[in-house]
Amino acid sequence: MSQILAWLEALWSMDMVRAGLRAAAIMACGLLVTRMVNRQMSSWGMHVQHRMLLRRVATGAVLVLALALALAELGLQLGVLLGTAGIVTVAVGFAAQTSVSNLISGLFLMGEQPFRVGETITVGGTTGEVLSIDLLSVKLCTSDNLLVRIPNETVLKGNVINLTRLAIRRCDIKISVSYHEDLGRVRSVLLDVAEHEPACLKNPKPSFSFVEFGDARIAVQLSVWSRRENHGAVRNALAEGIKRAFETHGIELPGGPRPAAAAPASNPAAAPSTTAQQQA
Amino acid sequence: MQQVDTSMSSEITQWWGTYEVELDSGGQWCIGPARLLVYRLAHEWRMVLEPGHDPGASGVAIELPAELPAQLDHLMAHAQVRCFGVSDDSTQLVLEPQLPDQPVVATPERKVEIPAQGELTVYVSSTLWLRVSVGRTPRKLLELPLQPMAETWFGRSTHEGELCYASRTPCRLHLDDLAVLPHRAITSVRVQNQSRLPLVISELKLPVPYLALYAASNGSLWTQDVVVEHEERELMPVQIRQSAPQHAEGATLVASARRQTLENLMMRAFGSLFSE
Repeated sequence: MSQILAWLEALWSMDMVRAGLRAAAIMACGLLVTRMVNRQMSSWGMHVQHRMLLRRVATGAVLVLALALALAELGLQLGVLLGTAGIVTVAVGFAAQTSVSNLISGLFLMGEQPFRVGETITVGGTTGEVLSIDLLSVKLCTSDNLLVRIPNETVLKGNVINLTRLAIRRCDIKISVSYHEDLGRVRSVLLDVAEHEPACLKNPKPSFSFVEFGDARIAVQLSVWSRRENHGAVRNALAEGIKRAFETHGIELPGGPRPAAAAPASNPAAAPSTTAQQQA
Repeated sequence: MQQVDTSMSSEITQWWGTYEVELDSGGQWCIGPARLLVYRLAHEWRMVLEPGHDPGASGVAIELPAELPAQLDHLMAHAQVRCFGVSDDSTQLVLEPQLPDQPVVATPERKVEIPAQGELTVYVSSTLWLRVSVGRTPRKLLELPLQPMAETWFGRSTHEGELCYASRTPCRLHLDDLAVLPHRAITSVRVQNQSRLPLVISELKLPVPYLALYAASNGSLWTQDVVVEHEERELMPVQIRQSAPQHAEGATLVASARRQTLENLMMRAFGSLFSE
């Protein structure tokens, strides 16, 4: 025991050991301070992404400061270190241009907030739910469960379509009908389908519009509004309803089988040849 | 056995309240067009609410206990039966009417113009919701509209506004034109045009979640009266009268407002603000 005490006394007399202990104490204080700061930030009413970024910056700053003080205690000259760091920074800067650009783009994205975590966006043809907005990239999860990483610079430079930011969304169904159909009747049938679809909003009202005269068909469009979360379901329901209604009213869809219902023909001149073809 | 059928009566039977549904039995409530079926099993409640589509159905029919087993098996194959597991053996069932959880937008039969400095009272009818709770300390199990409710968007543009329910019936200028129905509540809205220009009302948004529900002595259901002051700005003050509705004789409070009434409720109430 006395030998151990003598050894410890000899150790303590060495300046280097005392300096090392002081440096270790400074680093421990630095870690304690970062923990306290992080805990304090949790109570702030900030967006989760902003809080994460601020936490990382604060932790880095405190740890760098603690490291500098600890190195000073160990006798290292910070001036030399800073000079070396400056040269390294320039070299790294040239090599890490893209990363720095992504980092700065990420800061702009967090500030501007064109989208948030949990929203669904389309970037450059990729559509998915935003999983995270990180310092260098945005992570999306597509509808078929693929993870896509998009650099922040790409997001900032290109068009971002936010599919879930607004409460309502319009659903457009393009339909082609034969030239011999009465567009007025087609319009009535389509608007009636929309009227009876429960998920369609009453206002803005469903609308019918002409698109173009095609080669062998007329293209028209039915537009309805719904809650954004019902967009897909409304689209499917309308497609089913339109097909059913067209069959009921004898409206022909070009390319499909002729309707079985004996509805009055829009163009009487076309009726005899149609009947003749069916009998053949 | 309690059986009430008021389909031919001019007064509305109170269908809300506390009922006892014994174990392995059930009950049926027909409230206007809607039908509620409830079946009590050991540690389980089974319920079906069929919202009706006939807006004019006016009767209330209660059958308690009801011969349910055969009906319920048939219904379970085709309808959306809800099953709730409970740990107690309480047979207490509480039915409460509730106002919708979103504002209601009503349109007059034709556009109405209120002259400058004039005022007009209109009456709006809103579909009620049914809240079903069970247990000695009532716990909510179900809350659904008694009629399917269509939604509509009310706002200055498609990106600024809010989702509301569209009233099935137009707002009326005369109270007698509104049918008194067990599944609907009536609101009296006085519009005061305090601007220099006539006000044309093409649609009216009612802040229903801020209104309380009252029952008159004849069983009809009313909300608190509302006063809207139009002052040539987009948001206008809306006052909700804290007292019982003036048209509801012998009114008693049935359900409190879903949201706390704000002292200064400002909102956009009309779809069309001015006319030349």
